[in-house]
Amino acid sequence: MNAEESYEIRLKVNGRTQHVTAPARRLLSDALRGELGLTGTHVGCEHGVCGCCTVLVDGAPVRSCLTFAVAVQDKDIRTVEGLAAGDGELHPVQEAFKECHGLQCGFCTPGFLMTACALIEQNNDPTEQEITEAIAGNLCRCTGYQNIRAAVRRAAEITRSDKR
Amino acid sequence: MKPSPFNYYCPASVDEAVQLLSDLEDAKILAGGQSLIPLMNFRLAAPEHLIDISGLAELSEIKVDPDEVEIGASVTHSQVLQSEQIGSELPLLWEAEKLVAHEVIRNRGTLCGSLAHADPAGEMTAVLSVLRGKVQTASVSGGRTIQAMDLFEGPLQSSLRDDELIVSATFPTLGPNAVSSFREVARRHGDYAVAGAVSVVEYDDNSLVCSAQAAFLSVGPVPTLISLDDLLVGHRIEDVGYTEIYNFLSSQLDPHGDLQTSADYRRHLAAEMGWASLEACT
Repeated sequence: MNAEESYEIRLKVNGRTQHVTAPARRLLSDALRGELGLTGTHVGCEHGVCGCCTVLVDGAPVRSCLTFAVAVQDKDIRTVEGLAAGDGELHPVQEAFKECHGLQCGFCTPGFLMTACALIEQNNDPTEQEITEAIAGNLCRCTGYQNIRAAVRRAAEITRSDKR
Repeated sequence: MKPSPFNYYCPASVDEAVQLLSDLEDAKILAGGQSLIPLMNFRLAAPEHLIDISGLAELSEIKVDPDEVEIGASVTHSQVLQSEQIGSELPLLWEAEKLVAHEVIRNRGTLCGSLAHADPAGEMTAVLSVLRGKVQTASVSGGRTIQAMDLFEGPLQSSLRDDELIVSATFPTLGPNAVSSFREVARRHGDYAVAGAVSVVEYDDNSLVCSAQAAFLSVGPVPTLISLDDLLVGHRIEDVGYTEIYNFLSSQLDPHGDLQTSADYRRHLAAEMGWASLEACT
């Protein structure tokens, strides 16, 4: 094929619409990191296994490494940078991961946070089974998962008490 | 790795999509991309053109009739699991969908996409086979219906022509006297199944089997359909029993060995899953 064509891509990330010029093959993960400088989204395996690159698209967690940026124009994309409030106050899942030692090296953490965030926004009182099921698609090589499960449980607890 | 360059098209209708598919050399349909994009990231696939049908409203329908469930080509696995109607009319589809990868993959991956991908390890290919479902296609020269048994030709090979796309998949629902069950073994939850089986058993008014079919995944180049009619019709599954059913299934299965497991162990697992899914139909 000849010179690679560029596409004008509109991405609505964390409530802000931005324009990116990139080829069609630009993965959403790379557009977020490279074009938009949002390096909170991590890239691990690039074939949908590790879960590090998980972001929310219209509220649902998806693999940004298995999504072309050009294919999610005008969708509501939320990344780990969009979790904390403007004044720096942590989101309940961030607060809970900190409190429960739900991370060590932190590489997988953005993916876990986004996955947990989606779970808790759908259901702020998940069962153990629902928590395990929700995070089953994310790999962590440090924690052994127990603290992550505790963190998700705690995040749900914080969310419930915030609502009261 | 990163995919190789391609041109992206976002047609506004199925007509436009099939026109593109016919006009362009080396074009592929992109729906959820959860099988295609990993292949592209590994450069095992490098299509020159991708035609994105994920936004086509005319492909987003789920139609549930008493006799059949029809699922449009842009419907994701998660949307199937969100349809309470499917849950009540064809619970087997829900049971199988819960075994498809992880929720995060199901949020973008489509049911019809996994049929077009024709992976013999796929749960949807096995369910379509055991229920004797079909897909409807579209192309510039017109659409056709492809029966499940004619759709899968080999690993990742379907009988779809290059200029043809799947519009929807139709799964017959089960009658009041039929029971179904899906069982599989995967190394980790959400991984590809090492072996699995999905069974559909129909009973007569005396609670004796009048039809028993099982489809196996991950044991051959295409979903393997085995009829247990000769063994089970006129009997109760529990009366025929584990040994006879296990031995029969083992004799019918001829799986391959690979890095995960030997051929013998896979045959054993598949026969066990076959028994387990049949036993769950009692």
